[in-house]
Amino acid sequence: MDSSSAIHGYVAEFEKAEQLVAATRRTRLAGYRVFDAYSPFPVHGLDEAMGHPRTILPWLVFLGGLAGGVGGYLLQYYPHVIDYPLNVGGRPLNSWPSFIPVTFEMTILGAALVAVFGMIILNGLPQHYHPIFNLERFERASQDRFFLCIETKDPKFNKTETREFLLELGASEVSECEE
Amino acid sequence: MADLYSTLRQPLIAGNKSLGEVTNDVSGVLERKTSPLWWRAFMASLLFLLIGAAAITYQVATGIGTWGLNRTVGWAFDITNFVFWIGIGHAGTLISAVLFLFRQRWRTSVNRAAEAMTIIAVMCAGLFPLIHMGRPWLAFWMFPYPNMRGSLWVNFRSPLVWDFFAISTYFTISLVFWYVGLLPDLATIRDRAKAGIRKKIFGLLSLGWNGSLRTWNRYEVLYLLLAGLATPLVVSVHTIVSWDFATAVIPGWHSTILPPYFVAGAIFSGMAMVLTLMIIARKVMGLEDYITLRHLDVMSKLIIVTGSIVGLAYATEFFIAMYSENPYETFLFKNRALGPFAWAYWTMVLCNVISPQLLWFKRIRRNVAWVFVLTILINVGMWFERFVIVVTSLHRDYLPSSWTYYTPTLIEVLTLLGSFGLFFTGFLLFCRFLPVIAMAEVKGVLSHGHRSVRSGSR
Amino acid sequence: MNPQARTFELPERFRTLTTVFAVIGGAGLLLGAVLAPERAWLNLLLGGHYLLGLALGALFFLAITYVSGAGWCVVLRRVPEALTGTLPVGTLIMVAALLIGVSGLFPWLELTGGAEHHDVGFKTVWFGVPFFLARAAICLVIWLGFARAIIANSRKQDEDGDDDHTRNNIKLSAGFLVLFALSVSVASFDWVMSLEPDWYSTIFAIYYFSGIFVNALATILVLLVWLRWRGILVDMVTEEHLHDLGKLLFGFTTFWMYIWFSQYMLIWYANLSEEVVYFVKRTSGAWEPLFLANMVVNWVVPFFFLLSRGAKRNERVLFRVGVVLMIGHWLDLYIMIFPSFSPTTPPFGLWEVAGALGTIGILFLAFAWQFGKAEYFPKRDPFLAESRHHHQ
Repeated sequence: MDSSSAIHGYVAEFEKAEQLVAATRRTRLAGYRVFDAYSPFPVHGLDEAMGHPRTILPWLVFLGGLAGGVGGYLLQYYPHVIDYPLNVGGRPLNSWPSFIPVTFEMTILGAALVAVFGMIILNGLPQHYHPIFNLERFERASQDRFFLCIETKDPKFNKTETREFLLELGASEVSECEE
Repeated sequence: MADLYSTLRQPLIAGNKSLGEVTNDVSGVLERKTSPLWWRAFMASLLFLLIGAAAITYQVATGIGTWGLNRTVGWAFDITNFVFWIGIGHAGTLISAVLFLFRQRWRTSVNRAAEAMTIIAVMCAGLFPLIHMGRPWLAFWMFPYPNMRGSLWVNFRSPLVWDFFAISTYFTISLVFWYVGLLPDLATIRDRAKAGIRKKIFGLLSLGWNGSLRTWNRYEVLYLLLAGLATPLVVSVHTIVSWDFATAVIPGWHSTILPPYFVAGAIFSGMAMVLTLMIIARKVMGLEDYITLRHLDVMSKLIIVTGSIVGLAYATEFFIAMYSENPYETFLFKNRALGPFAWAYWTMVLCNVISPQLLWFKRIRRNVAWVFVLTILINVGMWFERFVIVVTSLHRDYLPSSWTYYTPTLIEVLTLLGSFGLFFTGFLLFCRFLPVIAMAEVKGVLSHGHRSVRSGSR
Repeated sequence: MNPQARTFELPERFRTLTTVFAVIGGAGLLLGAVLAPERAWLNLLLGGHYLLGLALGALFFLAITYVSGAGWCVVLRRVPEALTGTLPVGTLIMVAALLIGVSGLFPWLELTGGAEHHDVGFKTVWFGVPFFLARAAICLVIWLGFARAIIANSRKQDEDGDDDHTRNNIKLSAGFLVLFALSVSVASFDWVMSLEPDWYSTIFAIYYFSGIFVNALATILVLLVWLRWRGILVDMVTEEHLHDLGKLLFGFTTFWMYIWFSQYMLIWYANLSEEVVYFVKRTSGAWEPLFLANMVVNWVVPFFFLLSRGAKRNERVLFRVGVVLMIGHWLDLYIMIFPSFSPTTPPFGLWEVAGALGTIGILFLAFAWQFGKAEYFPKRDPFLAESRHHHQ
């Protein structure tokens, strides 16, 4: 246990996306829970293989849009009806048809900004340090290789067993990643 | 996977590329030494940009009187250029958002560059209202906030204020959409860079992206959401631009068809500009396997679709002018086609309605030279369309004694050239320093389609 | 590899019910022709627009999916195909409505009849009865021809499995789309906008189109879910297909709202007397609640109910929203057609009920007749495998 505190986990390297999906599914079936898969592009079927719940991002975006829309309308209602009522072209003070465009734009702006910053925050970005980068070969994770890392934090983690398990999955290489 | 696809499908990326090859081909462009060709193009663009900057400096220092406007024609070159550039931008969003929602996977090869084009085009567009203000340093008056000017608010009933909100929202969203799309590719460049300034910059820009599954998961949801938001946004932007005209009571401007007609026209012109740029880029940067003849073919088809909508709108406006039996409407349209600006009108019809019909032929759609020439004609035609709408509707108003003609001054022409300088300078910088093709997305579609099928179906 | 396809028959009770509806509609409008000719004619016109628009919208759906090379919708294509197949029925009703209309009910007839108070202008020529009928004939012949050819190719493919049928349909579809844009413009100006002969709006054709296409999508969804509840296409059409249709429906209801707003706002903003008459009528008196309800039914309801991903994958939600939109399109047409004849009060009585019931009855009978003519799905379409394995 002493020596394992210095390592982040064992990393298996695959050449094909399908191998990664299969490996992820089997890792989960084998009872591992603290592991992560890394790929150069979003791989189809990995979500289900890993068993993540759907992200709450859409709901945040809905609220962002709602706030933007209501705020946008009030931004126009307040000056034209309350603060400085002025007859322009004989139109009603609260001329809703002419307030729609700005309301719409603010809805989109609110929703989209919440979406982007929501994704960045939920993903813990910007991320200054991540142990997986200690692995030299990992530079190919953003290019043409697929990685699966079982972390030492996993209760089932065991140096020899985990390494053998990963090799069994068809990894072209299994390496130790430092913390 | 591939046997699920019908034999009528062809691969999206030519040359049977592997993941590594995609990375090398695209990143390689950035990692090589700058080519002399790029330098020459850059210097030429920069020259135009500087000429434009000089012209703008002169007119800001002297005043709007340096333009050819008069009492009757109070809006001409500035607004024409503004609408032209905004329109160019729309194709980028169409490709990145609308085609994404419609799962048109071929878009992956061109969306990055098209989005970059959008951002630069919106910057070019924003230039013109700013100069038009005459005192651009007071542009912040457009922001609605409690102020010391007697708490003087902007008039939210004015389409020009809507425009301000639409353009700034559009610019913001296009920028974040583009950046989000870039994230994984920035990480790729970072990982390929040897230690040094390049690694630092791209490390910073990529926010520590590691491509973990959970990250990808939220990223994909975000991308879908942004596409869903950008689609109505792009429609709204040119719609609101069209309302700058259509809310007025001037014949030729006040027409209910203007919103969808402007949107279609915007995409039509933008698609032509994307094609012009892509045809150059694939040649100069050796990306023929990614931007294939098939891409030219599909984008040409989109040009036919949007161009036909534009043609239909011309016809509808003309028809309704006759149908309405409103003498002012009828006169306006006759004046467009036969009056002193008939040369501009017929240039527009020739470039926008007649010459694009050649794209119905597959042989022409797949011929690089033909497509290149036709797209340039469309760009010319769409510039003239805005000119025709703006100027012909104004120059002969209700009062024949005030009828006049409009000629741009040298300053106005130089400003337009300057905006082209800005556009190409920006685009060349993008090509040089960022991945022109969305690598992560292309990798996702490599297995798409049948490689063995040779028969040229569709 | 593919499960065996079969053909369709309408359940007995349903057949009786829809036949009764159709008979009520036919008898009601015949009676109306004697007792209240104008009202009966307006309802006939509305029914004609509804059925014809539905078939055209479905044909447009087929054409854009062919042209764009969409593979996902192949398993469900027989539903829009059958709806397209009902085109002759809508055509018959529309022809009847137009012939009755030109015999004295179209409000522009005074322009062409006696030219006492009107100079010979564009409308005098445009609304000359022979010219008017010739335009109608051209539009209808174009639509019928393309509908027939595209459906025939698809059905023939079931027998010979030849990919060329798909290629031909792609070409036919491209041609259709061009002619469709022109013909629908003419038809919407002639058959709807002309009911307010002094009014004009350049966006009107697009507005009309957005309505018929939304209704076609809604009806396709309603019929599809209904068929699935009867055990048809259950394992072929999955949540993923419904989700895609739901997304299209969501998008196009918003498109409808966009076009509606563009027309309304511009006319409201410019406030020109010759244009605002249209909306003044429709927002005065008892018309106003209906005018507002139109927006709620055709946009607010579908937008908020279909916003979430789960809802777009839930066949119950889709079915209900689809039904709301089918009613909504009737309301939309009602507001387009009736106020020019009854500017203060929305007429609703026996004739409207008969017209609406008749439309529904005929719609189902005609759909069942067409859907029964071919197998449930195009079993030899080159894109069938893609469509069956469709996921996001």
